[in-house]
Formats: sequence, C-alpha cells, structure tokens
Amino acid sequence: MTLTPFSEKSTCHLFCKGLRFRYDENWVLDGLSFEVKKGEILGIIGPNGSGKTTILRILSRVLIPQEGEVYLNGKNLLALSQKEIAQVMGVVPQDTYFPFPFTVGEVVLMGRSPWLSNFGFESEKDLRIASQAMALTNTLSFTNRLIFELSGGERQRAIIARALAQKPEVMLLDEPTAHLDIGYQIEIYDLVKKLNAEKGLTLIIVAHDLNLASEYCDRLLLIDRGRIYQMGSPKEVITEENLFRVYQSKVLVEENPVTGAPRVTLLSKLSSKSTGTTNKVS
Amino acid sequence: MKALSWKKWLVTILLLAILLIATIIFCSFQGSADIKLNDLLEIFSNSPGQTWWNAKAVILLKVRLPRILLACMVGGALAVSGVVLQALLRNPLADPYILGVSSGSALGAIIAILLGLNITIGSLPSIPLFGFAGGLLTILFVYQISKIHRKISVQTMLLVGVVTGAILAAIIMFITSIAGPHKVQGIIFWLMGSLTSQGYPMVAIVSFYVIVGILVLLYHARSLNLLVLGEESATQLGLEVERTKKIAFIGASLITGAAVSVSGLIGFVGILIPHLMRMIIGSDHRLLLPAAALFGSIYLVLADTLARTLMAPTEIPVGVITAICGGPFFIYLLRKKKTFF
Repeated sequence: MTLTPFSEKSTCHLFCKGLRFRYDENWVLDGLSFEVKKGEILGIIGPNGSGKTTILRILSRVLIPQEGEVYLNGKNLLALSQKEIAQVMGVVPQDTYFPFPFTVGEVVLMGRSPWLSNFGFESEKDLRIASQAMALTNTLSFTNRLIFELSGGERQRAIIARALAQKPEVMLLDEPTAHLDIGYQIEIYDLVKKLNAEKGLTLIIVAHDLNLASEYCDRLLLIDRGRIYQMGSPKEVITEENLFRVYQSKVLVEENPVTGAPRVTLLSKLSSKSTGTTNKVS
Repeated sequence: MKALSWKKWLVTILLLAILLIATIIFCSFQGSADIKLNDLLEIFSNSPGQTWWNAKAVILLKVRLPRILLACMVGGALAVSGVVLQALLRNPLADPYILGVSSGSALGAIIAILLGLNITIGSLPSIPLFGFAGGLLTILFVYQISKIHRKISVQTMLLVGVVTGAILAAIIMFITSIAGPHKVQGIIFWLMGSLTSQGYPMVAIVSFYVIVGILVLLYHARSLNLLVLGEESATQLGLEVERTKKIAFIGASLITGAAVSVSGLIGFVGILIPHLMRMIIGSDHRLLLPAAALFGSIYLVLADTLARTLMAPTEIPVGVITAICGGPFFIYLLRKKKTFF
C-alpha cells in the first residue's frame, strides 16, 4: 500500500501512520496505516471486536494511540485543540442516550459548540446553520419535540443534523443504521450519499452491513484483528475469499444486477448441501 | 427556530429575582413577634435607643434577616449542586448528597458536638468549621479514588461516593449510639437540618463560597449541556471533558459542603428543584442553573418560614416541610407531564 506523501496532503484529509492502540495488555489496533482522500466515502468493515470503533475514537482524539500518528489536513492531531478538531470533524455515534429532556432544536444547536465561547448564546448565524442542517436531514418539523420522543431513524437523522451544524469537512459515522429497519437504513445511506455529492463532505463510515457498504462506499477498509486485511474498491475487497478468511463464514458474492456492486448472501453453516456455489472458496 | 436568547434569559432571571426579593420581604414580616411594614418605617425614621425600636429591630435585622439570607444561600446551593451532579453523573436520581460530601460534613460537625467544642476560631463557631473540613476531606478522598490513569471515571465516582457515604453514615450511627442523651439530641437536631440564625459573619462566609461557586459553574453551563450527551460525544463536540468534569465536581461539592456545614442535612431541595425547573423552563443549563439557584432560594425561604411559624413557638424541622410540600407536587407534575422520562 502506498502512503500519500506530505507534499500531496492537499488531496488527503486524514492520514494515519503506524497506529497501535491497546486498552490493557492486548493490542486492539496493531500497526494501521491508511489515508482518507478529500470527498470520498470510506467504509470500514470487519468482524465484531476487530477494532473498527476504536479507529473512529482515535481519529476524533477520544483515545490517543500508544504508537503512531494521525494527521488532519496535514496537522498532527495532538497539536490541535479539541475545539479545532471539532470544527473540521463531526461524529455520529452509534446510539445516543439522553437522560434529560432536550428538544431536537437544542440538540442540533449543540453542534455549534466548537464555534462558541464558554458562556454565550447562539447568534442568528448559528441558528441559520442549524436550520439548514435540519432542512438537509428533513428534521425541521421536529424542532420543538423532545429528542427521546423520536423514533430510532428520526433520532439518527437529528444526530446527523447536529454533526452537520458543526460545519465539518469530514464526518465519521459509527454503524449509523445499527438498530434501524430497512426503510430507515436506505434513508440514512441515501442521506450520506447526498451530503457527499452536494456538500463535498468526506465520510468515514463504520459499517456492519456489508451490502450497504458495498453499494455506497467508494473504498473499503477491511479490518482483521487490528490490522488492515485489505483496502480498495468494493469489488476488490468484497470477495468470497476475503470474507471467508476474515469472518470465518462462507458467503456467496455475486453482482448486484441493478448497480453492479458486489452483493453478499449469507449461507448457513448447517445446510452444506445448498452451498455448492461457495466451493470456489479455496 | 427557537433558541435561548439573551432576552429570554434575562427576562426569566429578572422575574425570578424579583420573586425572590418579594419572598424575602414577605417572610421577614412573618413570625411570632408581630412586626408590620410600617414598623420598619419607624425603625428607620426614629433614632435608635428607644426600647421598642430595639426589640423589633433586633428581631427583624438580627434574627430573621440573617436566617432568611442563610436559607437563600443554602437553598440556592443545594438546587445548583443537584443540577450539576445530575448532569455530571448523567443520572436523574443524583442529588447533592450522593457523593458522600454531606456525610463527611455531618461527621465533622458531630465530632465537634461530641467533643463539646464551644470554642470559636476567629469569630466563627467550631461546628460549621468542622463540618466544612469533614466535607472537604471527603471530596478529596472520593476524587483521588475515582482517578484512573489521570482521568475521573464518573461511574467509579458514583460508586465510591455512595459507599463512602454509607461508611460515614455507619460511623455517625455508631457515635450516636454511644453518645450521652444530651449530646444525642444535639446530633439528631443537627442531622435533621436547621437554619437557625448563626449571625452575619457565618452568612457572609457561606455566601462567599456559594456565590463564587455558582458563578464558576454558570460560566461552564453550556459545557454541562454537552456532558449530558456523554463523554465521548462531548469530546467530539470540542469539549475538554476532563477539565469540565473536575470543575463540575469540585464546584458542586464545595457549595454543598458550605451549605451542609451550616444547615445540616436538609433533604429534597437538591432533587426536587432541578427536576421542577427542567419541567418548567427546559434542560439548557445556561438558563436551568441560575433559575434553579433562584428558585431553590425561594423554596427554602418559604419552607423555613413555615417551619418556624406553623407550630410556633415550636419549630418543625425544615426538611419535613421541604419534603411534605414538595413531594406531592412533584408527583403531580410527573403524572401531568408523562413524557418526562
């Protein structure tokens, strides 16, 4: 894999070199290097516990790696303040718990925090930016409702609006469709695609659904036990062999007849008779 | 899109401040000694020295007013501490006493009672000083134990606080069981909580701690909004989380310690007022925090006035009033606004 040299950092938003991280004695991430280009949608896939969420935490400096460096727009992440990072990067967590009754409008306005001083009120400009973010995510109509009155998909859209209100250049999403039904899954991924196409937003998505990742991402990063197993286009990464090696599961990969992207079908380990087509897995 | 503006903030705070001043004036004229508003005019228009001037002026200015001001400070401190700890711990059940500061203060005060220390240090009585010292030691202990890899773990802090409080409560129970009957009465009275006048120097010192503490916390009010989202999201929204947690914990603990050391354990204000104000004006801490401070003051001044007048000359413990009046009203509001939790 080639790393972008610093002279070309203008086309490269995020650049990670030799990341190693551990919570206790075992390395969760064990030597990761990759780059994220401006305006691309990068999907991070891999089995549970392979370190996907840890990568997002390191990129947003919630965690600091024991070894290796992260560069955001050419600057070492450790040299930036948390506020400066939040002005460039918005994060949509997997699930948000609200112990107290905030309205949707209040939650979205919290996205303006990186731009506000300690004690102050939002200006007209902040309100306008928040309103635009809500219009884009189709959440304006719930402005005055309490955030925990919304359904899962509506709440996720409101949280995306909060991240958009940060006016970020990069957005990280951690399994944004984890608890949503198929209607909402498509809605969220279409929204992501729209933000990418219309706003030029760079997106990094930790995805657990391989088919959605394959459809929507420009490039995929397949993580196996804290290391990059393969990085490339969905066609290069989503193969029966790769998925068998990393997930220890036999799957059927064929071409989606509508879009041409690789499509994964899961095969039960019990019904070996019907899995003749997977014999090509060597 | 509606948002909190200076205008809404100022109007709400001014209204509550006017209500507080009205409450203070009203309650100053309530009590077993009959003092009317026009007595006040005479007090100020006549020269001191006449006997009736002395009696009424002393009751009004030296007994009632310092007591009412103390109630303001204690009520405000407990309400703000409740708001801040609920945000910090992300737990609607949190109150100012949850992290053991109150038990520490109580133990300090009880040791002073037990030793029969009637000495004054400077011009201050020893019981509140011991109480404050006990509270401070507890804060330091809980804080140090909760620090893991130079970060405070909020979950650990909650557990350490609750356990420390339980240990201290056991020690208090033990002391109470072996103390002589006269001292037991003093201890129990202290534990029940009382705002009996301690004189202006004490009021001044408590006011200093409480007002400075509340102003510092108010300055970080928007950060408290972010803390409610959880530490990870708060960090990703640009907050220096460790610093904010430290300020919130120390600020809330100090004002609680200051309040408890002069008034004992007055229950319910610290959990009722935060929820009540959240239901009325919402969860934005920039407005919630000062509104809770003012309304906590109003609530405790009213409760204490009832405590000293309802069965005069006998005083009802003020904690009884705060719970009996506030509890049912709180339950009524919860039922009315079913979407709250």
